[in-house]
Amino acid sequence: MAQRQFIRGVILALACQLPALAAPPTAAIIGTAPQPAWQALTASQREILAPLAAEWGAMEHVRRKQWLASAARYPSMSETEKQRFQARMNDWARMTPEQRAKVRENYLEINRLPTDEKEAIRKKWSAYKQLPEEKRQGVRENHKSAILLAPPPEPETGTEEATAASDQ
Amino acid sequence: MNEERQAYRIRQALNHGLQDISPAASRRLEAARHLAVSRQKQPVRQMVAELAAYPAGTPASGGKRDTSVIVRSLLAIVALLSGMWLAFHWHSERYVAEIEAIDSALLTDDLPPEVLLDRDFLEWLKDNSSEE
Repeated sequence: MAQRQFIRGVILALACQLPALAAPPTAAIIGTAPQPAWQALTASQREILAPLAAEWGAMEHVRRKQWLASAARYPSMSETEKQRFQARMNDWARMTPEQRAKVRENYLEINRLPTDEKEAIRKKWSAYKQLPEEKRQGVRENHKSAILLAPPPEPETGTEEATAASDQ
Repeated sequence: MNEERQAYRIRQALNHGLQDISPAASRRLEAARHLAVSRQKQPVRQMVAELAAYPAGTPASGGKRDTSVIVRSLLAIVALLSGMWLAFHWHSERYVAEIEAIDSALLTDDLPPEVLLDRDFLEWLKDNSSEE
């Protein structure tokens, strides 16, 4: 709980420093001491960071340091968070610095929204991802996202997409 | 004690003589004093000028002084470099802590990074308006 609050605090503090999110500042790169090679990591670090094994050698020291800090945080995560972290780590590492900066920027923007709006977005996403693949595009193109939060419609009045959303 | 008495007598004798000095001699004495004082100041000015010129020029005096100046210069450079490295290190620590916190948060969030990357989709999700 305290950790969550800390992260929220950091997110709020970072909200005013969006340009800093793009690439590591030169001062940070110079000030980062050389980080260990993959073989020099502890067994537990290698296990947590396994999805990054192939990229580790080519990674800048400042990014290695970041991942090692995340590996230290990993044991305090919930099971769901651990699974998400493991599953997303590799794709995240393969993104370009500009893409990562964009994601961080959008994430911070969403976190600045009022709590009810943030919750609404997450609920909509949850409903959307449960739609059958072939229906998703139709819902996006033909409806407002509010349809994803609509109560279960009557069979004769609901659209095909809304029915699919409410079924999830 | 004897020395003190002797000094007192000399001073009395000199002071006694002052009353007999003519105004012209008094002026000459004053001029001579000014001249002596001005000559006294020259070596001081010369020494200051030497010290000011030293870093760019060659040392004017002995090897001992050279060594101490070189050591002082090296210490200043080492202190400057250490300060710079500490500042960079502090930057690194702060940057890594901030970015790591936000990356960990978004990598474990309900919304995956690929959704957060899709600006149009995010805008669609954020739209609170309902169906017409």
